[in-house]
Formats: sequence, structure tokens, C-alpha cells
Amino acid sequence: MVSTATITGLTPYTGTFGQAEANHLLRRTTFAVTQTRINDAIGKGLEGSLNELFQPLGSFGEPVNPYFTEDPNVPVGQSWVNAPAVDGVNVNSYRGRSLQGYILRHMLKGGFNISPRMWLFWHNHFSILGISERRVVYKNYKLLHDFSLGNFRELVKQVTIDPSMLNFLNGNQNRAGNPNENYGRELLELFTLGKGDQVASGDYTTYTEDDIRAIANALTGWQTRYFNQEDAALQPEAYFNSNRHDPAPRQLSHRFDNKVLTVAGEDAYQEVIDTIFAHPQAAHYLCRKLYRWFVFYEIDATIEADIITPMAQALRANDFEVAPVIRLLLGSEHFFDIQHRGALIKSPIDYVADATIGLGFEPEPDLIMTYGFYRRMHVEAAEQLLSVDRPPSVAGYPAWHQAPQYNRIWINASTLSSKTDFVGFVTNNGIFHDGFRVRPDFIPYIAGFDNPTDPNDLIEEMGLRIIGDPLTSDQVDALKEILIPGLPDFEWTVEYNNFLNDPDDLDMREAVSRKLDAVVSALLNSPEFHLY
Amino acid sequence: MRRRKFLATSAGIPLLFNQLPRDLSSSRMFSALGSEPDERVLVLIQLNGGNDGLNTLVPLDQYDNLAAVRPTIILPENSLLAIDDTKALHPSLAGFRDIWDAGELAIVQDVSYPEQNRSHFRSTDIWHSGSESTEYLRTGWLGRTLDTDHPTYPTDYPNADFSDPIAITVGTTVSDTCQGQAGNFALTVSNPFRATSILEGTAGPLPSTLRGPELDFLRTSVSQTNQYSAIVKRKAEAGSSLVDYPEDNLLATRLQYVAQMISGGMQTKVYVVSLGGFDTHGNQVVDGDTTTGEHAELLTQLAEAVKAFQADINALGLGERVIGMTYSEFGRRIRENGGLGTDHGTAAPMFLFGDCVNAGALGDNPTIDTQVDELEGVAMQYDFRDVYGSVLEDWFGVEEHVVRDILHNTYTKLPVVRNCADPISSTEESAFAKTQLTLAPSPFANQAQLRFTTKTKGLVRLSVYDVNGSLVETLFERRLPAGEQTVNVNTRQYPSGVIIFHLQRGAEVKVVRGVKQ
Repeated sequence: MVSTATITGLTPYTGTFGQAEANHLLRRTTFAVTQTRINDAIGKGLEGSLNELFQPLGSFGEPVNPYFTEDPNVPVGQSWVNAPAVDGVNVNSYRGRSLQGYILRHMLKGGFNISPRMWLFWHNHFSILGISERRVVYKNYKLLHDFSLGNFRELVKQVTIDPSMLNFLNGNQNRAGNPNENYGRELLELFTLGKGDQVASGDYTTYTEDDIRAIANALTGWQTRYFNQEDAALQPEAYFNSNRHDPAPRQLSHRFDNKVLTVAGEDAYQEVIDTIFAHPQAAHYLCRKLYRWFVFYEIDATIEADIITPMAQALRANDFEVAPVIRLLLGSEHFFDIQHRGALIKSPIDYVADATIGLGFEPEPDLIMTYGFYRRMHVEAAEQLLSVDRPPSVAGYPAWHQAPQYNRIWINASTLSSKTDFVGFVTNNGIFHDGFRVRPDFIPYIAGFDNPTDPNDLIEEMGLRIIGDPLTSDQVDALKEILIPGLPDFEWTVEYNNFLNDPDDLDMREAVSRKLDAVVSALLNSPEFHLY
Repeated sequence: MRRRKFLATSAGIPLLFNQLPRDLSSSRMFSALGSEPDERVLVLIQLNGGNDGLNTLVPLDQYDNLAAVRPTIILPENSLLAIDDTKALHPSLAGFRDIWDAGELAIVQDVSYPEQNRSHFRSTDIWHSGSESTEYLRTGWLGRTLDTDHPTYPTDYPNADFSDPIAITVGTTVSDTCQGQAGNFALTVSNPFRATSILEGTAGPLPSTLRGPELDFLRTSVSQTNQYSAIVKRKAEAGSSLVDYPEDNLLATRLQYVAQMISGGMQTKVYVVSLGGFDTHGNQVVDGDTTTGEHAELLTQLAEAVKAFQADINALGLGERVIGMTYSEFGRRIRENGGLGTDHGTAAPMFLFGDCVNAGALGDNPTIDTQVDELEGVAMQYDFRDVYGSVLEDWFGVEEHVVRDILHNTYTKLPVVRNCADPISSTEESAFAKTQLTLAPSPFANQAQLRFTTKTKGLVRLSVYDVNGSLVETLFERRLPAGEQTVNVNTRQYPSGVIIFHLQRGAEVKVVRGVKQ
């Protein structure tokens, strides 16, 4: 299954930028793509669309208390991100749920902007789980958000002393005399260089076991404090404790040109990260991940030479700023090659986004519905194996790194059942959570279609919008059998016109609505809907 | 056919392999096994994260040295559950001790592979694929085995001959162990009693781009899910479960599903379940109360779940059809890390359970030196692929040459599965007698001498490993006559520090540790 795409290096794309190309670009870079956004992109052209994607994303404010009445420091509707713990009250529970909903809203309502998808990229890259103190979880969220299109090396520095990360990978237990190498190992293996073949005992081509230990030693002394404190003056934080730091120089292996790390104290970590980023593989590893993220999961020798290597050169030339290299990739012939279009299986967040906001849902009239809807989206995505609150391991989600299946890992009998149940809620029972219920209405959705009174045109346009690709005539016929089973085409025209002539007649509205539900349900369940 | 329960009354001590090993070459075990290979089921339990073997199966004869290098995480000696004079289980493993007492637990000590890789992800891939640590296989060890029986899978599956899933992962993610050439053999079942019917869409030609294979995969997945999940539900409902399982224990719930599916008549050969959280760099134990903490909680869940499952399987009369096996990507370091935890190491024990496992412990206790290097894990005695291969050969009836193809060329069968119809395993004197492998001098410089005794002639392999668990060299693999053996080793090229000499003859292993100056 090796790509037979015509390799053109990173030659800029100069072909047509129409429906299909705008659809490809937007689905790979944004969530919940609508026809409105596609039209917007076509109007802007490729260059203008890329400009739009890389605009700074407006603020989503801070996550607020959506419903909990027992936190004396945080009234409903107010931000909790600096609020202390409360004796005898579990405030982390509501804050955790609030943050889940907040993050899903950030993803699903990010609009014509690449930043939310890059947040998800970094969340997968620096996966953290099991932190109960939600203030530091929010801090970590904010860090990845602020650096979503920023400098990779600076981001790694910040992550190294991030309180959540220090807690998660035992950096806070890493001290002179008793180094804990957990973070040092993942820093090299998962966050920066990647692991090469084991070519000799403890030598993984890009680094060695001794390097892990030397780096763990250099990072000694960092601790965290004030988690879950009830005193508002004591905000949870990372700090450097020189008593626990080992100041001795540290010899690295030939994989780092036998460099000796000499900086001691609070800034030792900066020398560590700068040294890692001077390694020739520091740019390649990230570029492979970006390629898999935006283009396709298979990387053969040709793609490695013709795409990854120039990307890595560009990343280094831009001093590890990620935006220019992503933009270079997205604007290339290679990205738009027909081989790659619609060839990736959607993540659960893409799936729930496309099946709700992508269909025109606007569930935001008030606080409780906003929170409830997006929190429910989190629960659904988590059932389908993507919980931003609890990634499966420090390596992130297997679908984004595990050969040979890669994205196919999102699909199995269990997740397919969850997805089908979810489609049932979207198109039948309605989506409900914590006291609100919304039943989508596809009547306004088709009102803006070119010719909704003709069943063939209606289905073709629905297919194009929902699947992102034109339907085959067999598919149109099968869906028409759901819309007007055994009936001639004009029956739909008659029914729909009757409704338009008397839109307040509940019987007519319901009859048309049920038919549309059934067609949307079939489309959301189709194998093609899983692809983007 | 349950004729071996007397073992439980024989002073509570099952036969130990290293006391009564058997000659493996002389007998095929299957002829009189109580069940046919086609009916047999393997339940795999993955312990994700790297289980700390030394706090799981504690070498009592090394206790003081272990306490010296693990001062804050050592389990109090009087809390340990002794299973014989030299070995004890973690106090949370009472369920395993009960299975041991019933003669239904086999332990393989110190399992790993040459060229130990201390990355979770790479090491898990190696355990799942059954590959050399230097090769990258994209198939799983069970997937390759199942490919030999089902070369066209997943095309036209399920079918009249194979109506049930070939393998099942109970949980939400598929197991890489079951990845075959063209598809993964495992259906993912989070709850067998829930069957959802999914619309299958409209077939049509596949595009010739990269979208084609993905769309084909999706169509097949949907179609198989529909067909299989209806069958799984019907059979699980026809099945039963006769004992109480512990509550609030997801592993137990999932094993109960397995019992219900097997007893309902499923022909599925492999079930995979997992328990995560074994990456205990910190908080492995509670400070000052080392029998509690994250590791203790995990082992409690494991042992209680397995104990209930094994009781259920016996009550259902399925004892001769089902065995289980645990594995983890690596053991942990011998020396603690000072943060109430342990870092990534090398070998750890594997546990097999069931009526038809060869009850007892295979292998010697590891030797714990108080001067143990910080990097040192427990040295490997057994290659995990030999455990896998023995299960394939002796449980599933896979021919030895096929096992070699699937796993590795130097595959050596280990006595982990027994003839269920026999009350006692056949026995023969130890090939190494009771002598130890000895090393002189230690520390050594450019020369060292190894001594051991072989009681019968046979093929012997002598290998050398370093502190990271990486193979330095294989000194020889050849047939030796009976008698005292002396081997002079030129150690000039060896890395300084800890060196492990590993001697294997069939299922017997002797290990000695030395230090190169």
C-alpha cells in the first residue's frame, strides 16, 4: 500500500482550486467543514485560504463553572482556572467536565482556522493523563494552544517544566542520587528525536541509554507544589529546588558528538533541549508526524527523501517555527495529489464534528446547553477511543503512530457500534446531556440547497456535503429508496412543496423531517463518511 | 477426566520443573490430551506498562540482598505468600496462590528476549509481533499462526465453516497479536450482549487511489461487525457463568464475558484482555506501607479476576479446553529509583493458568547482587518466543517446523502445557544435574572460566549478555557429552561492567552473573 503519488517534492500547487480541492484542504486542516466554508475558501483561492487558516485564532475565554453550586469560590458562569480547592468538596470533578466540554468546543467551533487541529496534534504528541488538579491541566491545554503554530523547540522547553508533565512522567521525583529517567526517555523517544534501530547494546541510532541517564541527571531538581491547595495564594506550580539538583557535568554519547552538558542549575534544561535540537534528526521526526497528520500514514523511501527531508530542512531553516513548514506542505502539489484525497479514516473528533456542527447544528443559546452539548461530544469521542481527558498512553493515540493499521485503528466492532448509536442520536432520539436535549432539524439544512424539490438533486447535494465526494448513481438510487421507497420521483416534489406551502403544519413538517433524518442517517453510517 | 486434583493435597507443593524436568524430545503430548486442538482456547492477558517481576514473584533466597537494593519498596518478608521454599508471591496475589495450590498455575521465570529494548512501544511491538528485536514485523505472532489456517481471511469471512470470530479482543481496541497479513483476526467486543446493526452502504468499484484500500477495509469491517456481532450475542446469551466475579474490576467483567462466550459454544480460539498501569516509575508502593500502592492494587485486580475465571471455567466443565497466559513488555530494574518506584528493566515472570498447564515454576531464581548496577534488569533465562512456540505446538498442535517459521529458528520447546489426561508429567533426570553454572574469577579481566556438569549428552547453547540485556555473543551451540564441562572464555572485547552468562539445554537454563573490570 505504498503511495504511487507523483512525487514532486514540495513544488507549490498551481492547479485548479475548486470544490474538491477546497474540500480536501479544509477537511484536513479544520473541523466540521460546511459548504459555506468551502465556498468561502473557493472565493479566497489557495493562497488566501492558507492565509486564513494561519490567522491567529480568537480567544475562547476561560472554561467556566457550568452548573456546580457547591464551589464557594466559583459561581456558576465564572472561570475556575485560578480558583483553589475546597475542603470536603470535590471541585475537580465539575472542573474536569467543564474542561472536556471547553476543549471540544474549541475543536468543533474553531472555524476556518488550523490552530484547533494543531492543538490536537500537540495533545497527541505530548500526551498526558491522570492529573486530577484541573488548574494545571488547563495550564497545559493553554500552553499547547498558545504554541499550536509556534516554535517547536520553545514548546519542548515549556513542556519540560510544565507542572502536568513533571507530575505525569515523574520529573518531580527526579533528583540527585536517584535519577528518575521516565521523562528523559520519552523526551528523546517520543517528543524529539524518535527511536532508531537498536544497533548496539543500548544504542538506538539517534541516542543511547547513557544519554537518557545523562539527560535525566541534568533535569534533576524540578518539582511541583500546591496541587489541590485550599489557599488561593498557593497556586499549583513547578519550581526548581537546587538541593535536589545534580550539578555535575554530563557526558553525552557519540550520538551527540560526545558533547558534555555543563550548565548546572535552573537553566540546565535549556541546554538539554538546545542540544537535542542540534541533533540532525530533531527536525525529521516531527516532520514525519506532520506528514502523517496532514497527508497519509505510509512513508516510503521516496517520500522520506523527496518530502520529509525538504520539510526537515525548512523546519530547521525556520529555527523550528512550525507554521512555515506546515504551510509549505499544505500548499504543495504533493498534498493535493489525487492519491491522498479522501484516503484517511477520520478521528472520532472529526466524526462527531462532521455529524453535528458540520450539519449546521448551532447548540449555543445558553451556558448549560453549550457546556452540555460539547461535553456530550467529548463523551461520544471518548467512546470511539479519543478522550482528550485520558489519552491511552504517553505515546498518544495508536491510530496516529501504530503500524501497520494507523488510522484504521479507529475502526473496530466496538467503535462502529458506538458510532452507529451516535448517528441514532443525531438523526432520531436527539442529543441530550445534563438536562438539555436537542434534536437536529434537517429542514433548514436543505433549505439552502440548489434544488431541494428534486429528489435526485437533493440527494446528490446532501451526499456531496456530508461525504465530501460525489455519490455514485447506485448510491443515489439506494438513498432515494430510503427517501421515497417504491415511489416515483415527483412524490417527493409534491410532499416537499406541500410542506413549503404550509410550513406550520406539524404533520407535514414531521413527515418531511423523518424522511430527511433517514437519508442523513444512511449517509452518516456509510463507509464513505468515515473517510476524509 | 479431571484426574489430577490429588496434586493439591500433596503437601500443597506441585512438582517443580527444575526438580523433575522431562525429556521433551521423546514424547508428543497430544495423543492423549483431553481435548482436541481445534477445541482449545487461549486467553491472553496483557499487563501494559512493564510489570515489576521482583515484587510479583519474590526470590526468598535473595530476600536480604533485594531488601538492600530496594529499601523503600521491598515487601515485608512476613507479608509474602510463599509457594515453596525459595519463592513467594506478592501479598495481593492470594488468588494466584490458590490456583497454584490447585495445581493450575505455571510460572516461567525471567522471560525476555535478546537485545532488550527499553522503550514501551518498541518492546510491546516485539512481544506482539514475536519478532527478533532487530526486525520489524507488521504481523502478530497469533496472526501469523492464524494466517496458516485462514490464508484468505478476511475475504468471505464469516462463512459456513467459520461462523464465529477467529479471535476476540474483549475491550475497545484490537490486539496487535492477532494482526495477520491481510487483516486483524480479532473482533473487538466491548460487551458481547450488545449487538448493533450498522447500515452497510452501497457497494461499488473501489477507487484506484489510496482511498481504495481504506474504503475496502471500512466495508469489510462494517459487514463483519454486523455478521459477527449477531453471532456473538446469540452465543453469549446461550452461555453461562457459574461463579461470582469481583465487582468494580473491569478485567474480571471481561473475563466473565469470555467464560460466557466459550460456554455458549463459540469456536473462537483466542481471547485477548488487558490491564494497564504497570509503568510504576513512582507510587509503586505507599511510603512506609509497601504492601499497598498502585502495584498492589493492580495485582489484586489481576489475581481476583483470574481466580474467579479459572473457577468458572472449571465449574463449566471447560477446564480441558482453556488455558490463560499473562505477559508484559518488560520487567523493571532491580535497584529501585528512589521515588517509590522502578524504571524500565529486562526480564520478568510469565504466568500460565488452567487445568492443562504444567503446574510449577520453570527456571531458577534470579541472583540479586547488592552491588547491582543502576541499569541492571533481571537477566533473561527464557526467550518469550519459546513460551509462545510451546503454546502453539503443545496447545494448538502447530507443527514444530511451522512454529520455527512463525517465531524463530532457534525455537526450543518448554514444558508449559501438559497432557491433560496424564496425572503426572513424565519425568527424567535433569540434564544439568544439580550443579550450578560457576564463574571464576569474578570480577574478571580478559579471561574467565565457566564450569558446569551435564548428566546426559545433548545440545547446549552458551550466550553472553550485558547490563542492558543485550546479547554480546553466543559462545557456542553444540552437542556436549555427559560429564564435567570447562569453558575458557576470552572476555577481552566485552564491555566493562555487569556480564551475564546464559546456558541453555532444552528447557533448562542456568545463569551466572559476573563483572568485567
